[in-house]
Order: sequence, then structure tokens, then C-alpha cells
Amino acid sequence: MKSLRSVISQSALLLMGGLLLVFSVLIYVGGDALLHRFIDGRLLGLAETLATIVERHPDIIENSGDDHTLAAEVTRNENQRHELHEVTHSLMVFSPDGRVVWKGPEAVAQHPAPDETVFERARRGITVFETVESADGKPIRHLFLPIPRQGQVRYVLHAEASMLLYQETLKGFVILLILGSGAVLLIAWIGSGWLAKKVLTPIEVLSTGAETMSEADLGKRLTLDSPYQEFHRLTQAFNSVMDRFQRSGESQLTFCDLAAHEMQTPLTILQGNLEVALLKARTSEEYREALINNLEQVGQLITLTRSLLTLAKFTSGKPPVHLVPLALEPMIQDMVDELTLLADDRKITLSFESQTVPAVLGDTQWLKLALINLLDNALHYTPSGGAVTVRLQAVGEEVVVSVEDTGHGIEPEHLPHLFERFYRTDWARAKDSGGTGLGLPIVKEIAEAHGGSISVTSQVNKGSIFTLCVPAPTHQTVSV
Amino acid sequence: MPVDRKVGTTEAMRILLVEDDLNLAQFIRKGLKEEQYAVDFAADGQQGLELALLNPYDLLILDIMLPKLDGLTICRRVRAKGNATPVLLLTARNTVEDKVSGFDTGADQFLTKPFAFAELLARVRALLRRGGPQQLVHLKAADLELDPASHRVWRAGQEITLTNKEYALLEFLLRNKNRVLTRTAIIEHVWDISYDPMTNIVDAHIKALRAKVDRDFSPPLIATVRGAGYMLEESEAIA
Repeated sequence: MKSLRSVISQSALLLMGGLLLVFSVLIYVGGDALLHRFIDGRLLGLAETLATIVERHPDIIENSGDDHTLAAEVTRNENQRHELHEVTHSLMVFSPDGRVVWKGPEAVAQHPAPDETVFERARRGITVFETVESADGKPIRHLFLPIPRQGQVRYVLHAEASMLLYQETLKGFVILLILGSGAVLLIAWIGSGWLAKKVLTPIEVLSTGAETMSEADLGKRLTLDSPYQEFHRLTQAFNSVMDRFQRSGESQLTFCDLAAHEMQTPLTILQGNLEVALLKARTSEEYREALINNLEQVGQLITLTRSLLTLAKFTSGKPPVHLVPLALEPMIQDMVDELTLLADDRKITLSFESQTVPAVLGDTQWLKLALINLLDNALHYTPSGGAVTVRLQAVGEEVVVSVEDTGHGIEPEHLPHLFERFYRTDWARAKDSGGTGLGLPIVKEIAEAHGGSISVTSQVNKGSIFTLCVPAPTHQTVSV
Repeated sequence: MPVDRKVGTTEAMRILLVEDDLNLAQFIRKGLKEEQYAVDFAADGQQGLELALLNPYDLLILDIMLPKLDGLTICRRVRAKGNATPVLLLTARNTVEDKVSGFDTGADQFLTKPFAFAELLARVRALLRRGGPQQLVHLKAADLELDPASHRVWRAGQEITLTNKEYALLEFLLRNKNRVLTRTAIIEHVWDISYDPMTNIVDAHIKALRAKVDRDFSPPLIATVRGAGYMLEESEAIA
């Protein structure tokens, strides 16, 4: 597998190198063009000025006046005169057939002599630029400018300028570009290495930390000394996954422990009953009694198993709910009607207050189970003469079913644990009151599988209110 | 493989049981035979399918997880032959997905293990009822009479009005006359929901039922079986 560190360095170098190359080529080509334009422009400007003079005063050439005269004639200010002087003293004027008709004091015959093609083109009125190496190897820029008279090329003016400065400048450019690029690449290489280290060191620390965590050491957490929030997020995310992992591992252990414990009692009774029954020969009536005694224990085991299976269904992957638009009002009404018998028996007033509510998206069977658990719970904990009130109302995008009792209430310290599996507020009385301790956890799973929630508020000696919220998409309407 | 046949009575309903757990199979066979059903038995799917296609049965009881061929496949193949015999599937997995795929294959009923024998019998009767009218005969215990067709109940010739739950409870008790029914079994059958009541909801309904059926009559028929549940007792039947 590739190392991220070398990939980062290589990428940085390649990117930088590529950019520098493109940049250098652009600078070189652009600089070359600019310098040429500058030199040619200057040559042409001067030559054209001179050409105008020659055109106006052909006698200057024809009379072979010296260059001073020419320069003086041309210029009106000192600066320009000085500049012109440099050019004009190497100035030559040719006839269209290439014969020298006039030359400045310092003008030397060009080596090699200008090509005939140059004059041919000049005769056709074309301005010709060419770079030719002089005898001492210096590049010289030559300009041949045709001077027309009466529609014909009369003279060809020749001016020249040294390209030495240009060449040296370009050379300097290249050297600067090479040196500069080298420096930049070096910085890029060092910088990318530094950056890679900065990025990768915390990752390596985290990897090492995670590797050293063993299954037996789930309590360990990663610590990272880094000022960057990204790494803190990573560390926190990892640690919170570990937290959840540890919690679920622990709760799994606790859960198995508690489940086994719940089974122990009925199993012990079953085994005892059977062993005692088999101790000696008995009458069939005695056997019958012994067997009947076992039925209740088996019933408890079955109920427990069913509840455990229900929980397992909700906690392993996709919850087994099939959601359809559902009217809660008739469902609750039926349930309340059924339970009125039980409530009457216990001298409890069971009432149902309902608003018009939208249909919820729910699973009939599971919501029924959730509601019957809540109602059963409320009826169980409400003493004779008390009241259990079921309310159905729409709150925002949810339908809320609350079950309020006038029971003994729940102490605040129990409230956060009420929906935990096998949690009991009164362990000593758990045996008498029945129940697997899985009723409320199942209600919670059902509520959450519906995208809803279950909550409880309670006041000791006043009673409790369990509130089940189920989402009701607003576009659904009750259709009963 | 043993093939049990209820000998004698030609009217005996013939049931095929395909179940690989021999202990479970034994108690189902025993229980069903005591209810006068003829039971054939196969311990694997292959043999089960062969028997199902060979003999005319009134009901197939299939375990879902079986060696060689699973219960759903047997069900599908039997249906593919145009055979409409009612099918009761036994499953250890009480999942909706199972139910959906089971009904897709043409199964008629499901029963999740563990189940009360009374519940199995109730399902068997419900499925066989579709095959003929004999299940709609009046149920009787002493001078108590119940008509499953009209849902009417009489005691000593006097009609008694019951709520739906009371009626369902009484029918369940009557169909399991002289058999102990646990509260768990009653909840699952009568309420059709598996939950663990903290309250004495079953007792409250029994109490209400007794007030209508037993209080003004003699002898009392609904007996409390201490530590177990309830039983509808027809005294002369107890041997």
C-alpha cells in the first residue's frame, strides 16, 4: 500500500514543478517578444524619422553631408539628438540596387553584405528586419526601410542596433528562472514534508492507540495532543463509538445476566416440583396437581421468552413495523372499553378524552401492544378509588397519547431508568406484582420504531403521566 | 418413519404433522390423537412432501425449519399441485417477514413456538372448520350451551348476553373443556396479543363471566386451578 506521506510530497513537487515550467516558458517567450518589439520599435521609429528627412532633403545624401548635419537637421532637442547620434553614425543609405549612396562616419560594411533578397523585398516597399551576427560574433539587428519617392523606391535606409543587451537580458532571465524554480521546488518539498508530518503524525498516534486497544481493555480511550479541531473530532468520534460499543457490550452482559436471573426462579420451581413429584409413587390426583403447578411456571417462562423475542426483533436491524395510516381513536376506545371491566373491578375510574386527531403512520399490532402495556401499567399502580385518564390529542406533527394515573407516583431517582430492561422500582415487591420488567422497554422500542417517543413525568403520591408520541404526517386524514 | 393412523372411525380428521423435533412431535401427536384426530407424521421435509402429495389430508401442520426441505417449500409445492388443504405453519421465529413469506406460499395459519396446546387445538379446529360444518355444532357443558354460528349462549335454557371478550373467553374454555388453561394461553388466544399483564386482567374477565354464567346457576362450571389458571369443568368427565 502507498504511503500517504510520500504521495503528498510527490504531488506537491509535481504540481509545483509543472506550474513553474509553464510559468517559465511564458516568461521566456513573453520576454523575448517584448524585447524584440522594443528594439524593433526603436529602430523603426528612428529610421522613419530619418527617412522623412531624407525624403524632404534628398540633397543631404546627394551632397554627402556629414552625419552631424544630418543629426542636427533632424533633432530639435538634446536628448533626442544624443540618441539619434548613436544610430545615425552607423546609418547607411543604399540605392534600391544595393549600392551604398551615403554612410555615417562609423558605419561599416555589413558582414556578410546584405543579401540581394533584402533589396528585392525593399524594392517592393517591404520593411525588412533581420538579425545577423557581426564579424566578432555579436548579434546585430538590421533594419532596411524603403524610402519611396514619386511612387518608386528611391533609397533603402539601413539602421542597426546591437542585440547584445537583449541577449544578455534573456540569458539573465533563464538563469533567474532556473535558480528561482529550484528554490521554490526545494521549499515546496520541505513544506510538503512538514505538512504531511503535521497531518499524519496525529493519525499515526490514533492508529497506534486504536491498535493497542484490546477487547479486554474497552475502557481505554484515545487521547491526542493536537491543536487542530479536525483531529479532535476524529478522536471524539472514535471515543464515542467506543463508548457506545462498551455500553452495549456491558448492557448485553447485564441483559443476559438479568434474563438468566429471571428464568432461574421458574426453572427452579419447575425442577423442584418435578423432582418432588417423582420421589415416590403417587395417586393420579397428586400427579395431576404436580403437573398443574408447573403450568404457571411454564407460562411465566413463555411470557418472558416472548418479551425477549419481541425486544430482540426491535434491536436487531430493521424494526418489524409495517406502517400504515391508522386512526388511533377507535383503537384506544376499544381498548378502554375492554379494560373498563378490569377498572370497575378495582374501583378505578377509567376515562378517555379524545380530540379529533390526524391519522398516524403506525403498525396496529405493535401500537396496540404499546398502549395495552401503558394502560395495564397505570391500572396496576393506581389504588382503589383512583382514576386513570387516557388523552388523545394532536400536537404539531404528532399525535400524543397520554396515560395519567393517580397512583403512588415514581420517585425521581427511578425516572431515568424506567425504560431500561428489567428495571424495577421496587425489587422486593417485583415477585408479587408480576411482570417481566420488559413491558416499558418494549413500549419504548415500539415508540422509537415508529419514529416517536415515550416519556414520563411523575409526582410522588400524586401520580404519573406516560406520554406516547407518534408522528402523524399532516397530509394524512382520519378515515374511519 | 412411523406413520400413525387413528384406527377405526372413518370420520376421523386426518392430519399430517411434519416436525423434526421428536419431543415436540410426540406431544403434538399424543394430544391430537386424544382429540380423536388421525395423525400421520414425518420427521423431515422430503418425506413430509411425499406424504402430503400421496394422501388426502384435512390439514397439514408443518414446521418451518426442517431437514432436507423447509416447511415453506413444502407448502409452496403442495399448493403448486392445486392442493388446497389447509396449512398450519409452526415457527420459532415470530417475525413479520416470516409471516409475509409464509402467506405468499399459501399457508393459512401460523403458530409461534412455544405455544400452548390449547392454542394449537384452537387453530387446528379453526382451519378444519373451513372444511366442513361439523365444527359449528353447539358446544355444551352440563346445561351451558354455546352456538359458534350465532355467538349466542344459554344456561339452563336461559339466554345470556356476553360481551365480545367474555364470549371469546367462554368459547375458548368450552372448546378446551376439562383442560387447564393458563393465563398466558388465555391472554394470547382471547386478546390475540402476547404481553405480560401486571394486572389481573384475565381474572377480572373470568369474574365477570362467572357473574353471568355461574352465579345464578348450579353447579359452577368455571373452576380456578390454583397456581395455574382456569378450567371449564364438566364434573362427570373427570376420570
